[in-house]
Amino acid sequence: MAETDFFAVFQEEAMELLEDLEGALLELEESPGDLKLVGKVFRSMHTIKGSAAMFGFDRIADFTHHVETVLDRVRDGAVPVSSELISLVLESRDFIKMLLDAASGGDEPDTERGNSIINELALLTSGEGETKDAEPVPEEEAEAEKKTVSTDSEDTASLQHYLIDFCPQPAFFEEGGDIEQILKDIDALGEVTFLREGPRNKESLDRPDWKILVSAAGDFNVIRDVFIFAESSSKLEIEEQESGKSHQQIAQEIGASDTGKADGKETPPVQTAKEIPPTPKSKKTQAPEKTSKRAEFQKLKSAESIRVAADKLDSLINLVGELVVTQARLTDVATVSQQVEFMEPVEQIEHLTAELRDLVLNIRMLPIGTTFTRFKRLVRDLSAELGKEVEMVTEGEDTELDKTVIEQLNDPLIHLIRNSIDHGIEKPDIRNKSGKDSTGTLRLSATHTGANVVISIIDDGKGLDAESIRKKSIEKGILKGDEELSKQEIFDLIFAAGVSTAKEVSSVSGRGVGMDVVKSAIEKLRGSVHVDSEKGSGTTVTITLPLTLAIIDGLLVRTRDTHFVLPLSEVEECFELTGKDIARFKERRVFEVREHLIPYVRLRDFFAIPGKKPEREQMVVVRLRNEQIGLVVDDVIGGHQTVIKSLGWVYRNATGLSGSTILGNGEVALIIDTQALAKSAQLEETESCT
Amino acid sequence: MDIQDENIGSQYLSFTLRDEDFAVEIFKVREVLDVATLTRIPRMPEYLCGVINLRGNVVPVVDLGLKLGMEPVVKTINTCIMIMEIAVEIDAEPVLMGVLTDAVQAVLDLDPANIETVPSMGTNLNTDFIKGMGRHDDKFLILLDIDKILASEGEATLRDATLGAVSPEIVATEEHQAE
Repeated sequence: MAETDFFAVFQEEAMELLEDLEGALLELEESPGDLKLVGKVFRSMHTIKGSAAMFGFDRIADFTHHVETVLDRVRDGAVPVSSELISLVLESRDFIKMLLDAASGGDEPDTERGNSIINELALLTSGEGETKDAEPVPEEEAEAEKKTVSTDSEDTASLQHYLIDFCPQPAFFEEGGDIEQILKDIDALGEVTFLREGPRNKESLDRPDWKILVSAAGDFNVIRDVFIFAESSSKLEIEEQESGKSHQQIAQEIGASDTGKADGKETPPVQTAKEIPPTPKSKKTQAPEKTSKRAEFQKLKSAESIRVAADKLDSLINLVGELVVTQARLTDVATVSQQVEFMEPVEQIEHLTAELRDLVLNIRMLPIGTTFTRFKRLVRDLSAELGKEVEMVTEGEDTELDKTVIEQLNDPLIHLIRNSIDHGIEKPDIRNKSGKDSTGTLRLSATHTGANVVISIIDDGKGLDAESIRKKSIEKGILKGDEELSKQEIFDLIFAAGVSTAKEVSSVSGRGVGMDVVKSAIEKLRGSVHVDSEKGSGTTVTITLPLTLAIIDGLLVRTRDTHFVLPLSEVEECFELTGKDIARFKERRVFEVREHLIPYVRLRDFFAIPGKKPEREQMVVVRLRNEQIGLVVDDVIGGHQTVIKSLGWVYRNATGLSGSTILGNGEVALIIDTQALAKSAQLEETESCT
Repeated sequence: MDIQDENIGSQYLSFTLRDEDFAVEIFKVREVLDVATLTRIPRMPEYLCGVINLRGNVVPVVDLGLKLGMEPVVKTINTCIMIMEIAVEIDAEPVLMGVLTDAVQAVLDLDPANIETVPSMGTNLNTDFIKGMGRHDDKFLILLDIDKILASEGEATLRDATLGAVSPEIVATEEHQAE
């Protein structure tokens, strides 16, 4: 592997760790007492340091070391978790990221900043140290002191006894785990008895677990650190034993069966952990239980997922797309040939292809939660900057969306969240005056509905003022001033370029650019965005997105010789439209369905397709946001697995079309964007009336 | 841009629209196809004559006659589509576009010495879309800046609008005679 590949692996891993770190820190801020989270933060930092040192990124390793030192003290309880601490660690996270970026050719970060973070961290810890110890002990010395105590002290009362049950899994050895190193480290902890010898290498994996009794002065975490790199790929249980007894006493109690030392080469009798008689008064502490659970969980995770390059996935999707097209063609040929023995395998291929398609598309699905975590940070920083109190609530983090969609959703969401905090949620004193809780709530939720995913950003701020949007729009010349508009239509105006209701322009938002960008970004993803608001009580922005961008189920229709595809998820039913029906409504383009009048658009007219319409036409009823419209075509052909092909740069302005697809016979069919089509048809009718 | 500049004065593909001879740099052309089934995209300018299925890719096709503000291409046995790689935006990936022309002629080697810049006056040609005039045998070919033409919105008229309506055919004939 080339050096750059190593770097790429390191960078990718480090980025992931930094993201974990950020998530854990933000969680920690909410529940400062959670030691498990402190542990998680520490481990992320520790691993970054380790691999940075391994790959020769001394600056990162060096900087991380300082932060880790502080975190270690937090974990020991010497330094409390405070919001200053979290801010500083978050800042260090950002700094590490900058260092990483610099290593791959980005801008060189300001060394001063790094130093100042370290200084502030040191100040924070030493300040705490003074109140506790009167004199802060530098980390190295403290460490040394601990070691001295653990090795030299004969005072049994201060020693803690731990029973370690450790069993490396195959993955441990595959990842290059070094068991000898672990044994050596354990040996250095204090008085150690190897009660049972476990596997030392891959070949001896069938041996029972290692059982080790350790008596050391350090606390639980000191023992755990030895296993820090083994935890994810091994079974690990650390049990605290009753203090006050001597090491030998306990060793004899537990290991009545076997007290062979580690160097004893004799194979101990095969025994399962359950057969070992439980130590009489041994109490299981909270922490070890958690550890073993975590280890189990991690093991499961690593076995169930592998890392694949995104471009490989993309080519897989493309190939499946081609396969679907070819399969459609095969079905066409088979239908024409009328050969019975041919039909069966063709049908089978059809099924298999559909299954394969669904599976492959599913691979690209990612839970949206990863993005939500990033926003937590944004909300935190932004509300601090603006002097507001905002609590962010997220729902439906595990809702899955296409990878590309998630990536491209990032910027619009950031914009909307900024808007909510900057303009929506009021300052605490104003909130109090209007009888609201001083802390505002920003709710970010994602849910599945049919073939769509709906993402809502809900705040309980001051809401939108329909009247001031109206005034502003008239000022900007978007409205003439005499239109009668519904509230909904007025809210939709904020997506027009240049309309902003913010009285003052801030660094964050309010320049009137933005909402139109949000809208076009969402529409590019074939989604739609929608605003609703109640003055005084908050704003809700709803984004509706298709589940996937690559392949959809469609309904193939035809007008003259042009084929169109309608997204099947929007189709509700089909009717026949005869001359009699048209005469009944005196050529008005409406149709009655179960005592409901539904307007329709004739594709022949809308798309200016020449030729005379047939006597019997077909009408496909599609559901738009909250209305139904009919699309009138010459013929409905049937379901079609539609591989979406972009119409490309040249046709980026095409009206009422969202893309194209290739039919079984090689012809190109056009995919209809029902929403856009209905809108422009409506607009044209309004224009022709005035 | 360096690569392009090096290619000026190397190989060109010549083609005709009516009785006018044009040429484009050969490296812009991916392949030449017979006219396949064109699917028209409704409600678009007339010069955008539709899309074709190029081995599973949907490729837009432009009627070069209409795009250049001349007569539309009339389908004959010689009509063909040149598939070209067009840089529509700076730094963006080139996009594939089909160009409908009356007939493709030949691949020509044009010496830099045989390429003239368009004279500032006398030709009535809009120099925005033209890279130069190439001399081959006895003929003068108009070397098109195809990137600029296809990336522009609306018609890319070759006539110089400020000099009144003189069709490029006439201009070219005048050039010819002057030579």
